[in-house]
Amino acid sequence: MLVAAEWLYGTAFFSYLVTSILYIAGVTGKKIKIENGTAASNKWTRVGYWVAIFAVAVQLAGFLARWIGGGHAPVSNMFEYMSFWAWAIMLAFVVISAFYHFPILGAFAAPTALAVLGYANVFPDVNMSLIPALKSYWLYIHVTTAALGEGVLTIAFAAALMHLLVITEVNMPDKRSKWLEFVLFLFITLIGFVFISLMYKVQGYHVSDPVTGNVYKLPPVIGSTGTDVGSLATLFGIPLPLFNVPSWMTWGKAPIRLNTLLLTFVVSIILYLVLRLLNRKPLVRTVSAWVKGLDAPSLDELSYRAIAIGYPIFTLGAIVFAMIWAQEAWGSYWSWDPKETWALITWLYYTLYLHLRLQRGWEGERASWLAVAGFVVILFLLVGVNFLIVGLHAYA
Amino acid sequence: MTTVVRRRRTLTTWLWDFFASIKVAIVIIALIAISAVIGTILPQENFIPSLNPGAYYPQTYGTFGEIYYTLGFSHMYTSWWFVSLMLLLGISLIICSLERVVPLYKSLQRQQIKPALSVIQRKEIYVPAAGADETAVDKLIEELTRRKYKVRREGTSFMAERMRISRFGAYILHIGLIIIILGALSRLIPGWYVSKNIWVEEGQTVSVTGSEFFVRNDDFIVEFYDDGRPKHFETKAVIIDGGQETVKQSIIVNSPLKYKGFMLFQANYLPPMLRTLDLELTEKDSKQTLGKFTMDFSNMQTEYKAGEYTVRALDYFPDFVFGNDGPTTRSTDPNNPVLLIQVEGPGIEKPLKQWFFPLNQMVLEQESKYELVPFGGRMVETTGLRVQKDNGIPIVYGGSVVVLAGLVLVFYFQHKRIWGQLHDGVLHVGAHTSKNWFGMRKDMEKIFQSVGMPVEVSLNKRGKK
Repeated sequence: MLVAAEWLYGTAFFSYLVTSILYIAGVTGKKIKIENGTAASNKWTRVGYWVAIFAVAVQLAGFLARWIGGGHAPVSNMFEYMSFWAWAIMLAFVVISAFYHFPILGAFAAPTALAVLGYANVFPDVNMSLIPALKSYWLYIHVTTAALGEGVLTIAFAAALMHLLVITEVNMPDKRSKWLEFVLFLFITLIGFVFISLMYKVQGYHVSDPVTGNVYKLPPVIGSTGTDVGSLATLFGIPLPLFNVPSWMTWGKAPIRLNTLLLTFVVSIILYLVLRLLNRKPLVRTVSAWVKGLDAPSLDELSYRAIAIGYPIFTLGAIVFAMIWAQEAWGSYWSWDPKETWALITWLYYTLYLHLRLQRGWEGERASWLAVAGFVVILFLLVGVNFLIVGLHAYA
Repeated sequence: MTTVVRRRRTLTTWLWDFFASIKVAIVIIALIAISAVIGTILPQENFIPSLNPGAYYPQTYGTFGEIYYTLGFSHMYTSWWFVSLMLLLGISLIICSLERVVPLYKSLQRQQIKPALSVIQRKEIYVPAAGADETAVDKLIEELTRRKYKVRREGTSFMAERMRISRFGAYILHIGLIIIILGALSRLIPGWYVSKNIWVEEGQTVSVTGSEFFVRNDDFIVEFYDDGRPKHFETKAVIIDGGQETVKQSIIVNSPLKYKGFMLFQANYLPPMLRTLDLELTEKDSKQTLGKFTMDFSNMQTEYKAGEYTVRALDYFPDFVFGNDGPTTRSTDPNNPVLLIQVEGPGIEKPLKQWFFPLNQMVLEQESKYELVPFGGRMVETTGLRVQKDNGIPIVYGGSVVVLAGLVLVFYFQHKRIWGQLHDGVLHVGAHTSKNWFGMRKDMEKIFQSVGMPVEVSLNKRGKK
């Protein structure tokens, strides 16, 4: 069963990739007609939509196979959880596309889901038996509902980004287009991180630091205080680490994390520069050409609708069900654990969005920027908290 | 006198207006979110492995840790200003809601059945159906009633309404939030909230904090996976209330024991610890047994009788370690007990001091002719139970249900209104909805279809999508 699951997950990954390529090919080709602000679908996007449905079905089958094979619902470690979130994004895209006819949405939603699924694969995909705190059906209910809410909110991000690309005059070198270019760069950062992590993971790379016992899974450019410079490894013949962190940053895994961040940025900047050179103009101009002519208010409305649908689901899954589970497992429905606190922060963030939009008239551009930044908040809730902060959720 | 009254009135109205402002509410929410973010930068005091946060933060996180601790960020969520922000949010929720819900209620109560025709004609959805008569009005009303609209009629005019309550969804949601805040605050009521960790050794009976009953630990089981991660914790617990064994239940993680409003959670455990040791006093050379006795480490004596002999305990180190200044103990738990003893009895003129290592057989040349040989004993495990009583839980859960109901009403339902008036054979029908204009348009088309008056419904320019 577990072998079948692995195979199905692999197929799903491939289908995400195909969906993304089909949609991007569909929007970059000149064949999409935009009339009265709505885009007609073309051959590419129609096939893309069917592949997206296939991807959702295949990953669901993989999920069930892993559940049967592993004896528990596969939502208990980072690989499983991130895969599920990617699936939720894809599912939300498929469902929302059935109601709102925006084939171009796929060119944004599918690559996002693909990046998240890629990120999931950075983590070990071993099926681990559960520690006692996780043996509860509330785990499944809480985690799946929360991920569905986050999936729908991610669609709000994609639509908001499209809206901004439509309304921003990208040929003007002003602040707005620079910020949009920065958003694209951040997306490349995510890809860059997934890229180097997977590259070294495939090689089984690891270097341990004899002083601190820290294990590096990427070349150790930065060492801990006390490690001899140049004593750990070499990269292209350069002895590593190049330098050490100051002593106040040596606690826990801080040097490893700083090292990962640094490498991610270096790789992302190289990746960005290569793309930028190939493109010979800011990336934002190319991407905004995909959406040119779309009806801006409809995209704004779509983004808002996605938040209006996702917010109650998120409340139910990430706050209410989380409280019930915390009560059963830890004996207190609220303990200000960092993950819990960040779920509340995310909830407060979207609460602010809704009040600003519905009560203070923040529609259009400002609302879209809020929705785009909301994706960063969700990313921090799901990734940043685990990466930078440890707490009761440390196992997740 | 009058000036004083007026000043007070002014202050009250000022405060009211302040809290009724959405801007203020938004600022309060933002401040709570920002404070919550700051509180997650470093672990909070209740998550650190130290009892002395004042020393822990600077030691572990350097200058930044020291500043963090000094500013009180290390206990953010119990700090007076965070709690104050929560209270301000509660006040803002109540006043903002009252300020808006009352006018909304009144305006919905005062709706006219028969507004001016021009009002209907300006609705976002407007259909003039020609060639209609009073029977058409009857049929339309019948159809609307069938579709669960509430219809009020005045001659040949009517007004139909559905899901008016969805307009109140936001306020229902706010009431739910206030209930949750009250539920959380109910912990302050004396006797409503207990949270305490208790340790219960196997075989021991311990009073449950804050209650009148006791809990006994019959057995504690811990299992591990091969890779060392924990697999299973279980305490076979018995509740003793008024001298009677009232409940017998296994407490495992995620499945607490519930009794009389109290909950006992499996929270912790201590590894097996030496409880008693059965010892034999023997003469080294002849291997002859001189006497036997049992040493209870929870109840240490200064002397033990072994047959005709006496074993005197001169010094006792429960958790022996060899420190800088000689032998010392790390804790009071008998993890590595070591005793300094001397044996007295018939034929011993000058008793000699000697070390006794019950657990690790230290080979130490000692002059004494006697030795203590363990031949049995008992290890016990200790379970850590969390005693929790929180009468506010049902209130918090109830509030959550209200919040969710409010959310569903706000976001998944819509308030629909349809007005109709017959003028000179033309039935003027206008419709309004709080959202989803597309759905409303389809609804109207279906309604007209059912009464045999197919029309095409389009949106006026003012109508949104």
